[in-house]
Amino acid sequence: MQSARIFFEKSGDAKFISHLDLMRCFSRALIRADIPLWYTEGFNPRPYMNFAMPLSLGMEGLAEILDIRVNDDNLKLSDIKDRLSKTMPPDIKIIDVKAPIKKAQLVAFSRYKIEICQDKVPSDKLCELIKTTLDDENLTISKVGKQGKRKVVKEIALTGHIKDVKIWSDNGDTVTVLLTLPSNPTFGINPSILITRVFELIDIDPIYVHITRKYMLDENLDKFE
Amino acid sequence: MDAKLEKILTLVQKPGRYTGGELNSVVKAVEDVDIRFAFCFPDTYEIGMSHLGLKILYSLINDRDDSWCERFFAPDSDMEEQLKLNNIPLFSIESKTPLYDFDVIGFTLQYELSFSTILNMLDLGGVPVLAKDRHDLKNLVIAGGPCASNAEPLCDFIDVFQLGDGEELMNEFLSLYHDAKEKGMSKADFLKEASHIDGIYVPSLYDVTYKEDGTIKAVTPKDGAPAVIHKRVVKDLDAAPFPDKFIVPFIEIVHDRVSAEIFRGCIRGCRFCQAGFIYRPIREKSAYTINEQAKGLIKNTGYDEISLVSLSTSDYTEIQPLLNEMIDWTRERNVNISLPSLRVDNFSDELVEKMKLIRKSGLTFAPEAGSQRLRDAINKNITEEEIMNTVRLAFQGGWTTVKLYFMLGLPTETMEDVEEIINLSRRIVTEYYHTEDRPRGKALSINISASSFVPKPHTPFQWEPQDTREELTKKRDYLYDETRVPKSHIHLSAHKINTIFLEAVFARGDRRLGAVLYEAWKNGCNLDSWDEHFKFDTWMKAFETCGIDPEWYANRKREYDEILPWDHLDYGITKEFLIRENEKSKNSETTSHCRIQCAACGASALNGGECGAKC
Repeated sequence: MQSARIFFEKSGDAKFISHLDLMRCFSRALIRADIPLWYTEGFNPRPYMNFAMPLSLGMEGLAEILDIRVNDDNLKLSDIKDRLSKTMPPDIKIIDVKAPIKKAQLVAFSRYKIEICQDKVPSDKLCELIKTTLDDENLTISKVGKQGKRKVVKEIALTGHIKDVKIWSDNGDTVTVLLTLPSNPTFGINPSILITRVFELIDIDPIYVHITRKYMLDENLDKFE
Repeated sequence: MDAKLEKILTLVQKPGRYTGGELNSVVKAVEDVDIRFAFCFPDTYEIGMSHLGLKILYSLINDRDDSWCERFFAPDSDMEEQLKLNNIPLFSIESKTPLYDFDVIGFTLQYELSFSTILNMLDLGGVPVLAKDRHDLKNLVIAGGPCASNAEPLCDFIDVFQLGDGEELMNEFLSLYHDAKEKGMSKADFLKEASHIDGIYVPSLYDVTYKEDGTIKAVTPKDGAPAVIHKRVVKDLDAAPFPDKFIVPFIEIVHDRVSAEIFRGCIRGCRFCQAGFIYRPIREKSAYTINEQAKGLIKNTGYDEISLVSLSTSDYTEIQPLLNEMIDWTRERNVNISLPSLRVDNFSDELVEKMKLIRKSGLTFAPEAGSQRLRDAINKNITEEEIMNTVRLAFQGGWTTVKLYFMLGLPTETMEDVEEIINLSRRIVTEYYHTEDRPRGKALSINISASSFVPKPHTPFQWEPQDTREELTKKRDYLYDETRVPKSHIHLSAHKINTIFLEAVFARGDRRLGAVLYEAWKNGCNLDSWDEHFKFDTWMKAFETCGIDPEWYANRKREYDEILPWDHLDYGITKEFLIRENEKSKNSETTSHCRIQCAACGASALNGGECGAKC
């Protein structure tokens, strides 16, 4: 039995595919590719598949991670990549298949690109507004958490959590924001909630907001491999 | 994707219903094709994508170089609201093209309660709802499927009906359309031409007149259209086109598995069952073909389940060899086999043994009626002993959940017959406790599902009245009272009676119902088969506005000599046969199945005199 880490892109129409649907999609694609998966040894055996920090519905991902276990030790990772590439639906592309270095649970941050289209204020002005808002020490977002069975809304202070921010406008109405946010099993900030909050504060209703996760990082802010 | 569309997709439930991009979906270049075909299923994505007919026709049309078939489904109410709010017309799944851009718009008619959804989809797609308002060859609206066997309530809206099996008919029709489009033929001329293809029914070429009592006086063809339209029959299922790939949806659909059709038609002749008659004569696919097709589909889809599809799986003559072969290769690949539509009279030891190898799902049987007398009257042809043997085998085989289908309001039914449903269920519970090697540690559950009888065209009961809503309510409430007893192990689920009533009205409706349908849809009726969308009061108001009495359609007994709205649509079954069967039912006389004795139903005539029952 060997482990394999699949890096894939989820874009276009596929960004509207939920996590559960994505799991089913991969398990079928792996069957079609005739990759001998290792099955769990429970009452209802299922192929072992583990996604690192699933994406929210509606976001694109350029280097998403899926770990699988393969029963055939002699199967080359490059073969897995070739075979699987041929059986995936069009908007989910296999980027690479490698041997995992770190455990998937050690993903600590994600790097996002947020593209914003609006026609209310000049783009330069919007860049400034966003920057000021993100820099504000008092910036918080509300998060729905659970206390026992009860749902509670918590205000989370964001100071120190938003890293490596870059904001620019290239042409016309589009503003692009690059930033790194915590995303690990114990604590994560959803960029969609963050950007919605920012627009609430600056009181602008954008035409659309397009969020892409470029890659994941470890606790030292190194690209996750 | 369009920014506006992308934004609304973030606001609706299950956006995966509308985005497409599924494996094996077909995308062609618009400039490479001459015919753009919209395959419309008048229900949600999850229901529509489960339909085998869609898969067959989708691949058949897309195999043509001149055509591109794309899919449309009914948007759920949240999506419909967003589409209207943002002025986005209903669009195809594959290329997001508005419905009004399509040459041929094809609807599948699976159940009467989807009719209002057809109107709604046309309207959302920017296509005039009434056939008379569509003047060009473009946006030709066609329909097929079981409800085309009485197409009359839809005649105001549909230009062309295709009767019977679509595999050959669709190709002939599209070739004619292709020529007509090239020549710039008018819609009227095309319709006349099309009416000469066997199986094509062009309703506008027929005048219907009525007598004073409201019944039909005459149906008169015009412009050389045939007086009777015969449904099409595919002779050889082994040779018939069948997809080697299924679209694999991202989101979970109702039947999320490979469906392998094993035969068409049915040998049984249960007198209430429309499918049992309109798909005759019986034609089997060979075990070899089924296995090969199933293997290919599992490989091309990655599904982990195969369902053997037919009207009565255990009647397939090669069921044992088929399962032997199939179990071998499916176990190797962790693929499950599901066997729907089993009968209790040939549920054998060997079959149980086979089924034990397959992952255990629930077992469902359909006695349909509680008493032997009534089972004989409807020609179900199963005895109580057979039912008991079967449940005993099932209990011994480890099953503790058994689902039983019953129907209320069958012709000749009395309150004693209804009581027998409860008595039979109780005897099954007793049988369980008398089965020595029954499974221990799991609670027994007898789930009875009580639907109501709907008289359907082309069946021996096509003349019979449906029980009134009051009678049905009384019978259903009796069942509720008797099953809401602690520790009875019997659980009841019953269909909504108002829904069943409307189904009965439209099942045997005529052209005058078109006005009611239009009125009801205008007032918001849509997706009527969904309880949360069904607006019975709006429907009843529409009947009133149009001056039409729905009970005249649902609860009236017809005489044998009355001209029925579907008499000019020939599904092979002769009226003489249907009358014979109706008469026999009154005396609770049964008719043997087709392999024991041919009952001369007449269906083989449409198949060149051949019938797969070979008795």
